[in-house]
Amino acid sequence: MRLEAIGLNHKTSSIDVRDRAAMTPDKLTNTLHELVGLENLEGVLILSTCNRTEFYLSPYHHTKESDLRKMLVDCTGITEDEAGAAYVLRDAKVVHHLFQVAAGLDSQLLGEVQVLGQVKDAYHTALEEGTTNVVLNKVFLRAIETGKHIRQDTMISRGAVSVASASVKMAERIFGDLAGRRVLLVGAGQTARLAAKYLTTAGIDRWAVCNRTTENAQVVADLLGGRVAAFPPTIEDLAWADLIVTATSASEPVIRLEQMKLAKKKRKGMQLLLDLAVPRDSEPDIRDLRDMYLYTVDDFQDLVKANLKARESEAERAEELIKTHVAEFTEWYMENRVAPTIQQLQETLEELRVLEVKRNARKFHGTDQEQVELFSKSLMRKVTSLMIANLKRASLEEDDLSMAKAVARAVSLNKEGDLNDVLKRLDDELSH
Amino acid sequence: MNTLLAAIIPLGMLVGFSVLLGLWNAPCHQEGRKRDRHLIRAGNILALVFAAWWAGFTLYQGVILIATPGQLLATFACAIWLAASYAQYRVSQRKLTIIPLAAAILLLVSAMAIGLGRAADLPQTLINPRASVHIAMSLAGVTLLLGSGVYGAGEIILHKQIKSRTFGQWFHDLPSMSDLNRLRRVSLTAGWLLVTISVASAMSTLWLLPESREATISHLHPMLTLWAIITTLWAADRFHWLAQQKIAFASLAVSGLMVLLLIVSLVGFFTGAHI
Repeated sequence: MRLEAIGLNHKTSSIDVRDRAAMTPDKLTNTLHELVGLENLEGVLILSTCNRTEFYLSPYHHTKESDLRKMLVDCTGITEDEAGAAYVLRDAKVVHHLFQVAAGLDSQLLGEVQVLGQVKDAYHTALEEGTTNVVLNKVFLRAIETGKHIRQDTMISRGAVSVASASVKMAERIFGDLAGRRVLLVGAGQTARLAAKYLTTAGIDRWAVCNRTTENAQVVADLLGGRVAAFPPTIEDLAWADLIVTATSASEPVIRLEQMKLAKKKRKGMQLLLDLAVPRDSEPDIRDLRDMYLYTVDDFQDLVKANLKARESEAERAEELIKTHVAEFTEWYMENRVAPTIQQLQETLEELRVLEVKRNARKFHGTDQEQVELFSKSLMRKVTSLMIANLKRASLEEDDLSMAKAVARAVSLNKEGDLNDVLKRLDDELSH
Repeated sequence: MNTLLAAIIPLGMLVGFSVLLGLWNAPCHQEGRKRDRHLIRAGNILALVFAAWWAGFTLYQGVILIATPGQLLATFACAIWLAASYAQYRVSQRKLTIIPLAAAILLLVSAMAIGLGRAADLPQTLINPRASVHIAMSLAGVTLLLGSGVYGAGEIILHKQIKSRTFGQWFHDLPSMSDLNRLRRVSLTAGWLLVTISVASAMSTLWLLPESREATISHLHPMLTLWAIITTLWAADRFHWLAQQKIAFASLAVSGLMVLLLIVSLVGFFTGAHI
């Protein structure tokens, strides 16, 4: 198989190395053109994300490993030592690895969805730049298809696997559609902003932000399009919110049980309090209040752990599916290699059959002629099928093209002489 | 005509429901798929066919389709599936579609086993249009109240999983707490309204047609008891007297009680016993 890959990811390299190896869109395009101009390369594709930089190559002949590493150093600017940690893959291993990447099995966060989009983008970039060939096109299209199938047929991407996404998931389990829900954000630090980002993506657009430093609260409120509320939160604000997110660095609880009791008297319906602070911002007994759900970082970590465990158990099933997809691709590739020979074989044998029937036409009349036609076709079909099956098997199982080459030579006789002459000669030899 | 209405069409619907149940139960992990939309559409078509069959049979028979126990079960199945289709229209869900589907199949199979054919002797009590209204409203009301019990059960399960941080299969597959709560409240309110109309209709019959007193009073006590309980539950829900989980539990308990009262009423109705 004419496929090679060299790359580095979160398993082989530190974030610093990965950062330096990552390519901007312009650099990536230039590199694609530089590489495809090399003598031995028919196609090239680069997948560059924050977690991995991988070069997928379709060479005429396999490249030396040292040359591949040198290419990585030249293209990315990392040192030779750093390139030494990169993985080099060839043929079916490239296909297997790429399918794993597309399915999210090789991701830092098992089953993550974004990587499939990144694979698609990398493929489209290379396609637009005209640096792919038939093999790369096929393997990437199959990888994208495999990524989709695995997410559909397994639960590899199911369930939140970070505290922020788990918070959103929990809010959705309680409130359903989050559009129109009111959120009180207590705190304006990094955790609070990250949670706000996730909740905004989920559709929340009614915000009140409070923080010890009002200026910081104002900045976050402006970003979210919300209002600034008093700190510590008032009973009115606590009653106003459907969802309260706390992420301050306060050493004492900011939300007290007595406050929440009073707030609950002022409102009807469910409330969710997401306490993302360590140490916690809310008093634990709040969770016992009527129609109140309180979740802390520890609770979410349990949820995240449970989801990750579920994903890990699905990874085995996903791996089995990948093996099937790799086998299918390999079969396609091998068939594709012997396809011209098969076509030549079929054409020549058909030509022979037609000529032979024609030459003997006068020996048969009426329905006999039709029977001869049918018989010859059936015979040829059987002979051809048998030969094609053996050709494919040899190519597939033994990775051996010698049989295909021999067949190609055997059926190229018609190019050297008239088939009629060949047949006549054969008749003479047989009669002697 | 009788064979068509009492055997062929119900059999076709039964096949449709069974296929739908099989497809809803088929493993599928991706959310928001096309498959769900197609299944919901197929379910809606089945609901329309069921309603049309029910109306057609009622017109053919000349009396609402409760003249025999078999017909009553089929009517009940029809009401359950119409309510489930409406719920599905409001909230896309999977787990809670399986329960009404299974119930509709069970009721339809039982109805066909008992016999769905046109009643030879129509009960006199059913010829009165007031009685038809009373019975139709009762059945629809009871169906909705049973639905509120099912949604209440869903709420309790989800609440327990969220509170205990267990995150099982139900946690992922049930509709959200808010949706379950909304469906339960809508079912409860609509069910209460229909049962109230039904009780009012029975009382007016009792008042205006004293000669039908015997038939009307056959299950008056269970009906009034049921109405009083539902009214209390509805008021508790409407005016937030209790926490939502307690109301959900009460809805479930009332559903159970209602099944019991329903059986008592039906036994009374078909045997003529005064309860």
